[in-house]
Parts: sequence; structure tokens; C-alpha cells
Amino acid sequence: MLIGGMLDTMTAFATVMLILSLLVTSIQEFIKRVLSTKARTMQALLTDGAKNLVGARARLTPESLKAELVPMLVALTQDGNAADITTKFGTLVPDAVKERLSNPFPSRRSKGRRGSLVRWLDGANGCRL
Amino acid sequence: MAAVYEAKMKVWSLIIGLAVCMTLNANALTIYEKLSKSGALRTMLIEGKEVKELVNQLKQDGTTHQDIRAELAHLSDVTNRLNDVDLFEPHSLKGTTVSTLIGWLLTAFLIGVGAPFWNDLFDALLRLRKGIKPQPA
Repeated sequence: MLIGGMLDTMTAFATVMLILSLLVTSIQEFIKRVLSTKARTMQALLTDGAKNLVGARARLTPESLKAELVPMLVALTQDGNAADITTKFGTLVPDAVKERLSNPFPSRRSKGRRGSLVRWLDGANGCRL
Repeated sequence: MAAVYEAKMKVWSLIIGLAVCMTLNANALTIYEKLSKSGALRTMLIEGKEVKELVNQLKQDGTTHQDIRAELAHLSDVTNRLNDVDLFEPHSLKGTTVSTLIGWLLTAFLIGVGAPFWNDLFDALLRLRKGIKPQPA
């Protein structure tokens, strides 16, 4: 009787553990399926993105670049000539930078070269800082 | 690679098992104690028609995982039935003691052994039980 009762208890305990194990297995399987669905969606998104990138790279030829850039440059220079643009940029340079440019070599030895950079810039850009 | 995957799955099953134990307050120590004291509970679990049918169905579904939602619904039915007979006590986290934590960990470890092991053990114990019990004349 004692052994029979113990056996019954163990069988019932095994039943409970079996149910709980099956529950855990099912939950695990459910999570796996949800994650695999999400992974598939992500994969599809990435594949589409990669395809678009490859397509964009294929379109980047010198001719296509020229076709895109030339109208932009024309639109930029339509408002005025090149001298106006450099003058505009010149007014944007801060005073500290102007000071540094007017005296690029502050040592005594380089006294004779003072202002050479500014002169060079004047000559090269055609604008006065 | 497969070994690493299996090890990872075991860790995850342990974590999920612990979460299930904590949610249901499934403590192996108290479950065994209750089962050893209550003959009606034992009979219900071993010979109860509904539980038996549900377990058989689960065993079949558990091997295939064809319809995971239906499987989970069946499992929640069985768990509710076990809850109805007070196998799992209602529990609040405030009343958690060291013995409860040990019980949860033990249960999670036992669950982590896997359903095939418990299935084999259940079948073996049933055969043994049939062998010991006197046959009706």
C-alpha cells in the first residue's frame, strides 16, 4: 500500500511536470516562430534597401553626374558673377581670422613676409579681406 | 555550431521555465507534498479522463507543433484545471521566502530536463503501476 501510494504520487508528479514541460516547449516554439517572422520581415526590408543602393550606384556615371551637377551650378551663378560671390564670402570671414591671415608669421625673422598670404589671397581670389 | 545552439536553447528553456514557475507559483516541493497528501488529486491526475485526453493530445501536438495557438490554448486549459484543484497556490511576491525561491529553481530545473524525459517516466511509471496493482477478478 505504501509503495502503491508512492508510485501514484510519483506518477502524478510526473504528469504535472510533463504538462509544465510541454507548456514551456510550446511557449519556446511560439517565441521562435514570432522571432523568425520578424527576422524574415527585417530581411525583406534589408534586401529591398540593398537593391535600391545597388541601383543608385549603377546610376552614378560621369555623364549622369554631369547632367545633374551642371544645372545646379548654372542656378548658383545665375544671380551674379563670380566676383560677387567671393565678395559675399569675404564678408563672412571673422575678424580674428582676418588678423591671423594679415600676420601669418609673427616672429621677427619673418617680418618681411608679413601680409604675403593676404596678398597671395588677393591675387588668387580677386577679393579683399 | 549545433551544440552551441542546443546549449542556448537549454538556457532559454530554463529561463522560460523559471518565468512560468514564478507566474503560476509552481513549486515542486509543495506540489509533491500536496500530491502525497491528497488521494483525490492523484486519482484526478492519473486516471482523470479530461486531463488524460488533454495530455495525450498535447503529446501528439507537442511533437509536431502544427498549430501552436491551439496547443497553447489546450495547455492553458490544463493549467487552469490544475489551478482549480489548488495545485498551485495563489502567491504574491511580497511573501516570497528562500524556500519558495529554491522550489521555483528546482521546478525550473526539472522542467528544463525536457518533455520527452517526463513522457518516458510517466509511461514507465504507469506500466509499473499496472504491474503492481492487483488485477480485477
